[in-house]
Amino acid sequence: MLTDSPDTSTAFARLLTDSQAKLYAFVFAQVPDAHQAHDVFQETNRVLWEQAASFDHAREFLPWAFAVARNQIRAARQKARRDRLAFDDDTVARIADRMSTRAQALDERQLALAQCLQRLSAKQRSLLERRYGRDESVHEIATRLEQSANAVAVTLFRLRKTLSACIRGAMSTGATS
Amino acid sequence: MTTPTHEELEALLARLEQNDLDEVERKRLGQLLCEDELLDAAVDQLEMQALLRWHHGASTAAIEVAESRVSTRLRLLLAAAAILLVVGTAFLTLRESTRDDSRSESFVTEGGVAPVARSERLPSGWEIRPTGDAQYSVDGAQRILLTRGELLVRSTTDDAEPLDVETTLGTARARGTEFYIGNHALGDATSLVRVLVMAGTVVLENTLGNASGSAGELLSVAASRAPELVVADSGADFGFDLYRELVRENPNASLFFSPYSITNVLTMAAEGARGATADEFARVLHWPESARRIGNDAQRIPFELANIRSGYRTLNRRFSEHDSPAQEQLARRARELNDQIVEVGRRIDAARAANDDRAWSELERQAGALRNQYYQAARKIKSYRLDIANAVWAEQSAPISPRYLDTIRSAFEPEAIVAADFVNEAPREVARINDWVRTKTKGRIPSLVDEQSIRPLTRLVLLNAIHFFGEWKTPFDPGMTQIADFTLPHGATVQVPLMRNYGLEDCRYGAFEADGAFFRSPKMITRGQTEGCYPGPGGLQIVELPYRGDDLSMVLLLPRDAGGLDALEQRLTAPRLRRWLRQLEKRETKVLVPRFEGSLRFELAEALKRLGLQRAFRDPSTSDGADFSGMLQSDSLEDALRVEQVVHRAFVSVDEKGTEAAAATAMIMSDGATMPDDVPFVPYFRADHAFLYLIRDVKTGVILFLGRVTRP
Repeated sequence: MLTDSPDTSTAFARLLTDSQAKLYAFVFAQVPDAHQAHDVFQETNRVLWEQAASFDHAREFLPWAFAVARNQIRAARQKARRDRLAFDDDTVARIADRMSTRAQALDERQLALAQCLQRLSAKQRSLLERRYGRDESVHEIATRLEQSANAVAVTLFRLRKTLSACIRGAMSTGATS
Repeated sequence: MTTPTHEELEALLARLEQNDLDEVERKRLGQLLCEDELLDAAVDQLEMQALLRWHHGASTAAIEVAESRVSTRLRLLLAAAAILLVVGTAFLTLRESTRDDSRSESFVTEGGVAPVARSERLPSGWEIRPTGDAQYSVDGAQRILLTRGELLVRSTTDDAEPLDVETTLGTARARGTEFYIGNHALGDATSLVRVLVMAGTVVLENTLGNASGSAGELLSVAASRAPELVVADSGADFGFDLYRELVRENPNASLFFSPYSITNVLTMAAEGARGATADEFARVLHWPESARRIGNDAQRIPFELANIRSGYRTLNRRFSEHDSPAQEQLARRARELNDQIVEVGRRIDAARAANDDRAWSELERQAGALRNQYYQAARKIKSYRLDIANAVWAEQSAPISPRYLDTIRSAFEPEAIVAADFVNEAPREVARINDWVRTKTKGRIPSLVDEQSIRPLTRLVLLNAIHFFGEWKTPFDPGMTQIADFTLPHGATVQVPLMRNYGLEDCRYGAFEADGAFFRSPKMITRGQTEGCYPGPGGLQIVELPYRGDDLSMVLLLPRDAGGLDALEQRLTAPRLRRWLRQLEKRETKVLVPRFEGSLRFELAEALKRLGLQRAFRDPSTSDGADFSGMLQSDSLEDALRVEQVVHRAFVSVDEKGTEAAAATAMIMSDGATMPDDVPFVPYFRADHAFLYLIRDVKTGVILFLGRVTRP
């Protein structure tokens, strides 16, 4: 039986630290509302810490962490008003499965993203910075840019599509390795 | 290559990003994501959003720990770990937070988490606890009106008096029990009332009957039987029938009237109609056959009006309901958020002055979140006023049946039942009636009756007045209004002020072919494309513009051809309109509508006769004359009653009005620089020729006003 020695605590902290980006992506992909996702992400971390002592270090950390995250997502969805839920339960389960299989490559994709962002125009990078850096809503950006919200949302969709294709290309040519 | 389903997925995910997905779209998105290819495309998008957020460091707090929920030992562990975490990623910090506490105070929940509601104790020994955003009011110690949402109701003492929880579909009556009651609006403009009995017995009843349930049992009333929907559907059918008759009487003229006001009065009269006269009312008003009575006196009283009465009572109360607890709470929340935004603004100024970039950045983030919350709350605040009132002026010396007046009193809740003196003081009664109408319509209808219509032989006057004022959910910018050509039905043009909104997103739009079939408006077109954007000749466009609060909306039906209004009117029926309205979709639309104002007076007798209401106007002493014996005392020797006149006046004014804030956020989208290949298709709804319009209750479909504009 494992004890909470300083070594295991530190090891656990490192596992959790190393998995933060993956955990973050796992949660945010299933909960499109950023504020709600943020709460779920925090709560998942809290629960993981609470259960640190019971974690069996012989097991893989990420599937265990994802299982905790799934429970937190389920709990948040049960508390949320139905009309605030973007996806039904089945769809969330399918997204979770997909994200689980992609998780190992996420760090690599994150690295590739940094390179791909450089290929965008300054205007496109500025748009992404507003949306994801300053956390401005689509409506706020639209007002500021004097465009319709739909035009901004569609533009963001296409930028993400472009970046996703760029990342795939970069990974297939080994540009990030 | 992009396929139509990919296009649809793109459109839906774009709407999801704007927090604008409705129930139908959510379902559609779920269907699309059942396909592996589309699911992969969506997961690409969702994952990319997460990666971008992570890359840009939008996450500022990864771990929040409620102090009371962790042991000291774990806190020490966390403190040690926090150092690693902060070193490991720049985005993670450890904070001990009381955020959960503040969330429970919040009415508008950012993350969709239902607020924790407080329970309310009634002096009669009952406790009610709303869940989510329940809308209810306590009407005395033993009666609660539940408009929407769920309540947990329990008696706190053994000897509590019986409690009634009234909903739109029925009343739950309980004694010494505990139960959940929910009044839910469903997506297709219907509603459902459910009662889950936890202990004791609850009786759920409405005009159709009653059912009782004990612990563990579920009682429900289906929406399709809701009386107000019966009233809405039959009122719409009648409204379009009357519209066609009025068009026939007033060819090429603009017109405007309130079907709802007229059906209130006709139904009050129908309450006292008997035999064939009552049958005519039922046919003209499109009452359902299911209301027809069977039994010994079915010939004399052919229709059971309990359901219809209940529908009018519910609707009239709901339309005239002002400042519900939920609305007051929203207004309070908006004021609080505004105060917080002002306070954060002060702190931003201070941080800027102190060159504290970190604090400044955090405060900007807070201000952004608060502005979002304020925006969401403010747009839910109802900003329309609908007042509906009925009244009866009854000649004091006439043997009007007290039973008839009681029925009218309970069903139509007239604001006034006046003992009038038509015999000796007809001019005075004319003045009193017009005063009442003027007051109820805020001066917009200065007079309704005159001394030609109210005479010493008058015995009864049934009245309804309705007044509505609403602000557009997205107002038109007065600065954008320009004088432009408006094409009259026969081709000539006149100059009118045309209001414009080139990026209206709070609207639903649809286009239809000449045969009424839905025209699939493209989502994307190549720059400069004109083919395939609109339906062909004989087609039409419909746009629905909501008023603030989203309860009511104006629907405009615009034929594609400038001279196409006649053809549209010929094929317009209530069921077809309902089908078209169901097919509208929320999308950005460029809307151009003339500013217009008008006042009209109609004498409806001839139109009603053509629709089939004939006996009611005839001499009651003849064999096929009027029979309103239900209005008179049974032992009365008084000559029977007949309808002499039905007058209707209407006023309408449509302009750009809205709040200052909403006027400042009017948007025009034109920059497509990041989309070089193709651009979103934003349909034009250019009402610069004759069109038809109506103001309706979104939930039930009740048509409050109906009209057309041929010359603004």
